[in-house]
Amino acid sequence: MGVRKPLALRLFEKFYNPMDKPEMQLKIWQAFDFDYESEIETVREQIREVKRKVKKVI
Amino acid sequence: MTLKRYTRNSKPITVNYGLVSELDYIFDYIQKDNPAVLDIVKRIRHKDPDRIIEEATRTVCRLIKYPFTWKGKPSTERKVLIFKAAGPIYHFELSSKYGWLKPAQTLRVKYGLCIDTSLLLASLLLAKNIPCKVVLGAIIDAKTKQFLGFHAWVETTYKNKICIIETTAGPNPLPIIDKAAAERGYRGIIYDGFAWFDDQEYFEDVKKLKKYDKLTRGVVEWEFENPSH
Repeated sequence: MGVRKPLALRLFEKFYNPMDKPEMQLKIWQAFDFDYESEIETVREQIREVKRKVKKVI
Repeated sequence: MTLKRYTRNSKPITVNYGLVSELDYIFDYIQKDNPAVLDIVKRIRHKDPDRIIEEATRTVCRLIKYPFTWKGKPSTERKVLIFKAAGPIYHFELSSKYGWLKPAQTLRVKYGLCIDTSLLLASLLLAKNIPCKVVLGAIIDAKTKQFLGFHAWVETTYKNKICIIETTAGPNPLPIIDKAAAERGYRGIIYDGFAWFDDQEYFEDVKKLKKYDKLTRGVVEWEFENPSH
């Protein structure tokens, strides 16, 4: 038995790419008053921390 | 509405969305009997279905983060390495741009996209014997009627109304809204579901899907028909 996907799954898989369309997720978060700015800032802070550590090691 | 129906026993749906692109039945992505899921379920002590829905939703929103890239965009990419051979070399290596996590994996990873968190919430609710379904659909800009992209959410009955639960937002305020309002347009966006499933059945709305199929092929100009009109 191989892969057997109905149309909805094939469409969803093929075109679900929020990396290309972040505005959809942003609109959802805005609609639900989700504090995405602070979430994103937390991630950025983590990345800055990793970069600082890498610089120290090098 | 013309529906196509698939069940566990007839016309089984098999997908390759696993971490190593393994083959699964779609119903395997609802894990209402998984020990990690049951561990969460036993901490929800309410008897009232509405309170259970609220608590399960809060739990998923609180525990599972949405995965961002370093640029602050949603991240879907993954890489799996198994069986180290030497240094950075592994016997099995898989890079993938798309896949689903099973609820126990989402709990372990603590990050999940819309489909991952919807599958987890549906598993928690079904384990509590609360009927619900995972819905696949489109998000439309309520003002411009532009198609924004595909999305997943959970649908259940809450406070005697059919509601949708947006598992990528919350927990405060609780992201549960009336389905009719969501289909008309809720604070700028319209939810338009075209397929839904639980652990036993899978349905597709044939007419809607034909439209989205044409749209994504670029055959027709997008024209959204509001279901309330």
